[in-house]
Amino acid sequence: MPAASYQVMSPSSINFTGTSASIGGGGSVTFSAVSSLSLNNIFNSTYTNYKIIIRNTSSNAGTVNLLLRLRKNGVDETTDAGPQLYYYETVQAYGTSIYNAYLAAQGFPIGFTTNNTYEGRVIDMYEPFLEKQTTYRCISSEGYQTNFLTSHNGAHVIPASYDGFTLYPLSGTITGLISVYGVTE
Amino acid sequence: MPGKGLRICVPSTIAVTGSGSSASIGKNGSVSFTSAVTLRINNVFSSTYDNYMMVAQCSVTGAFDLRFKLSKSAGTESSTGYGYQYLYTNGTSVTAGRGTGSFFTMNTGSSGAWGGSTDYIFAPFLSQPTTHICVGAPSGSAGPSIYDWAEIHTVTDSYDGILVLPDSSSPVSGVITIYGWVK
Repeated sequence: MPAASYQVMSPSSINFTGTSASIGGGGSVTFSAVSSLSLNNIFNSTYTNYKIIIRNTSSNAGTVNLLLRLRKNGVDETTDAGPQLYYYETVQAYGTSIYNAYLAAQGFPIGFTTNNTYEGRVIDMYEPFLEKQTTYRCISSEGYQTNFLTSHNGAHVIPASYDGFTLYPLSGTITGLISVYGVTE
Repeated sequence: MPGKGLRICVPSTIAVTGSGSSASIGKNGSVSFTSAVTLRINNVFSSTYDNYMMVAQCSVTGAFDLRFKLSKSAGTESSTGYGYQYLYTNGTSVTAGRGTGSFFTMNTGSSGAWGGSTDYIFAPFLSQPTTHICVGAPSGSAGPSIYDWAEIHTVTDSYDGILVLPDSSSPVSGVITIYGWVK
């Protein structure tokens, strides 16, 4: 049996709101001061599971959630006015404090984003292209002078096929690099 | 593990210290070492990749944490500007802590036990702060634990390597492999 490996994925197109975003030669997407960034046709039938690597900074004066919303045929699954379809368990460590909860949202939370921080996130996403519930696991490091550790595990309740996603902070903009990898089988 | 999206990064040189210590670079680029008090892995980060994954499997003779510092020019490590937040679970105990220090932390075993960690290192070669995540799986006298770290190095410099060292100068043996995420 061959060992598992990763294939960097390239979206067929991107949409963004903000200053700039572009697809690099390998397929990763560089973005600057965007309030939303959509990667289209990046999930397909070749791969079942994916790993997403994000490094970003932020313009936010406060601390807000960064979310990832599933998408198909160029349309996000749900809107901010729609039902909360993404359920997750979160644990957040800040100083000696620990917060954990089971919640629902309009997208998969993938950690905090705050001004003047340098943030790294690793997301494992399971079966987004299959007509099953998509699940995910994310761990992120956020901070500059003050560090946060957040971890999420969740599921999207609609068993549908999605070919992409939209990345967006609840307010402000983000700048960075996002790479998506298909896990070979 | 390596593929078209994840490549093993082969260091140009390594250097090890410690009584009876040894280290070598395997044919695929992994670094094996025994009885190391310090281990330098040089010129392993480059402009080809922004972000990296490091997988470590080690045995530490008497210490709990295994640590590393960012380094450059095959011997100049940075010992300032590190900040950490950790989350530790052991049995029914869950604790967290935050502080500053002189190194990044990886957790790979203690008291002769073997453990592992998967670390993500964001932008060490860029002249920007470096972010670090450790997904640690230490073992030892306290039993298996979950020990995750979210860390930052705020010095805006470019680093091409790491200096690995256990706490308390206790020798460490194991294998470290560093991968670059194709961008």
